[in-house]
Amino acid sequence: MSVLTRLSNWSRVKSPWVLHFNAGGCNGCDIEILAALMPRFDAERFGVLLKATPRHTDVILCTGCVTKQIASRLKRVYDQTPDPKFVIAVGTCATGGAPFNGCYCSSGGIDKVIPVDMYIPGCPPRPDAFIYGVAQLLAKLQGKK
Amino acid sequence: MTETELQARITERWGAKAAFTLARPRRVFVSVAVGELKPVMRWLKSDLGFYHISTITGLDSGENFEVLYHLHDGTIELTLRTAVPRANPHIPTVTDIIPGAILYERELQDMFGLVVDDIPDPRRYVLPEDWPQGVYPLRKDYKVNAGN
Amino acid sequence: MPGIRIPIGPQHPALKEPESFTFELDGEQVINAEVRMGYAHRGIEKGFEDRTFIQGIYLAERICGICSTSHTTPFVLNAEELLKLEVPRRAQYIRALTGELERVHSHLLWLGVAGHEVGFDSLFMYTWRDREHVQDMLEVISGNRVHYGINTIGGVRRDISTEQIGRLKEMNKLALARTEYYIRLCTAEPTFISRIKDVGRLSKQDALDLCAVGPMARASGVKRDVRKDDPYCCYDEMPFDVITADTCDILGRAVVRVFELIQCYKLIDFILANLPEGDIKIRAPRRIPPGEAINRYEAPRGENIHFMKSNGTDKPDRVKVRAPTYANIPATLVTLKNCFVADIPIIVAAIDPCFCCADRMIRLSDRKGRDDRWSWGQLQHYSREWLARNRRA
Repeated sequence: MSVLTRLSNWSRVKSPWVLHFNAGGCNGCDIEILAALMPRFDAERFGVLLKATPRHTDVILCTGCVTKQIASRLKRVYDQTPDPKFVIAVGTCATGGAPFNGCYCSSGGIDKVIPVDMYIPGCPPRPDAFIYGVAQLLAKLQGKK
Repeated sequence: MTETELQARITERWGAKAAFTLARPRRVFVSVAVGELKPVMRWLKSDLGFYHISTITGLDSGENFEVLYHLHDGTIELTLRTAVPRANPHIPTVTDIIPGAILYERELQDMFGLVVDDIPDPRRYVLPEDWPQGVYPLRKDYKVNAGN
Repeated sequence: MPGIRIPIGPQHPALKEPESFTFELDGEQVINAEVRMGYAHRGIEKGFEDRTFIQGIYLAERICGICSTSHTTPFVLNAEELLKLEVPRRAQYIRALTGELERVHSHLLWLGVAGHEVGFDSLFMYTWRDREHVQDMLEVISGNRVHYGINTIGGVRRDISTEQIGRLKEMNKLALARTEYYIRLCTAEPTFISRIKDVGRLSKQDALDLCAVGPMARASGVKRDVRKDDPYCCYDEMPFDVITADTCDILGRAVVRVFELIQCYKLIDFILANLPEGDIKIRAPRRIPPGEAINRYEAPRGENIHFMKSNGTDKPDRVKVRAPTYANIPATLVTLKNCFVADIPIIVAAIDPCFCCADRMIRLSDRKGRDDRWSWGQLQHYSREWLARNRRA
């Protein structure tokens, strides 16, 4: 592996840039993700940085059960994110669609639309659970290097 | 105004055209035929101060669609109820009386397939762009597919 | 002169949900604004018809994560009205307590987001840090920070012990002390005020005609609050004031929310000091006799209304939910007219949008047919740069 590749892998693991995408959720997971970036839990001290555009991100944080209206936008955002990219499905409805299974506009979870690397269940998952999930993903990536 | 005074004013002005029911304190239901809907609503707003429409509920009652306009004057919640036949589900717009009703009427069109006559903006509102035309999710004959 | 149409993408970094606005511009000014909803439309009203009433509470809570009690409370109030149940007063007080704590956390959340939209990130950090205390209080009562699950048909599911009451009183004092700083900020800090004064104007007549609700309407002088006008959960026994402002702009909305926080702390103190003795719930049958009920609730964002029709089974025949942000959308489109592009983020944020309740993206477009898509982050960045170049007096 070349020096540059090792460097980019190292920076991706040490400071993942994340994109937060709400695919039709109730907002519970979204405010817990933001709470994770706020002073009490402060995920930013681990190098996690919230970015505005998919083109700058390593990790897409997806919440929500993926409504029919947003599904194509989610796919587009996923395609716009450069490789290597990782997707974290945050929350129970992102993981499996519950409690909206049986509702006519719900797709049933993020993995029905894009491939998912890490699931963080919870309704909503606490910020601590969310940071733990991100840390697990990074440990997995580090193992891959 | 108390509920008793409200009942007296409505009965005096509209008689049998507006059937008044008191469900409980601050909850009043008034049933009218669809032809009387706008005159009654206009009078409720101008003469009695029912200026605010909270929402419009649609109900699928089989032969008819019932449409409930939830109005309030700040204290009493007055639901103005009318019905249109399923075979001819046309209802007049009330946005010329209360402009804030526009989004609720658009939602009625999406969800029940009611046709709101003279609606200023008839575009689809809440349903996805690729939702098939002619499929109305809140009608009782629409069944959600399992594992949808 | 032809305008420019610019669309802005469905994801943005600072919280919140997908939303879709289209703005028609003339240079820097917005001539027209339209909204496309439905990105968070999940089909919940139909979902209620396939679930029992108890399962429906769980679904109602997840209409919105920020104002979850605002949906479960009118839902259970409707069921209890149809069952003609007399809910114990202790349960009503606990419901009111949860509702007020939810109002506090929601207003602090809004204040932080408003700060972020105008470029005041320190305010974002401070308010969300203080919000954590309120989340702790909610966790003391219910066991969870979000989606408290406190309501059931017939009462509440958890009681509050004397020791917990003591802890909550201490935490309330701390939250009040921290809020004093935000009052000074909203009334005296010139840089913050200059960004929000005379921005996003909504006249009183427009607020009435377009049926605006909540702080959006109260900042335009419309003195309406469901807790005072149509009391539920024993609010008629509790002393508090309805806060209004007459500036009709975003400064008014900020001032209304901040002073409402003070009223919330007063209410929380009153509830904790006067919690009635007794049971926390009474037994409720599974099947609800046929009938219709309507209940309104003052959510942090405004009037929330639920309609329920039952048919004698254990599942509702129809549940209709109209959340407050939905009611404020026509008014928002009016406030966006004639504003500058740089003011769009704060004007949209000022209604405290909860589109998952109401069920976005921003598109700005011009009559020549040019069509640009911006992300919210790009719009925020543009807004700060533009305002730095065109500083208001």
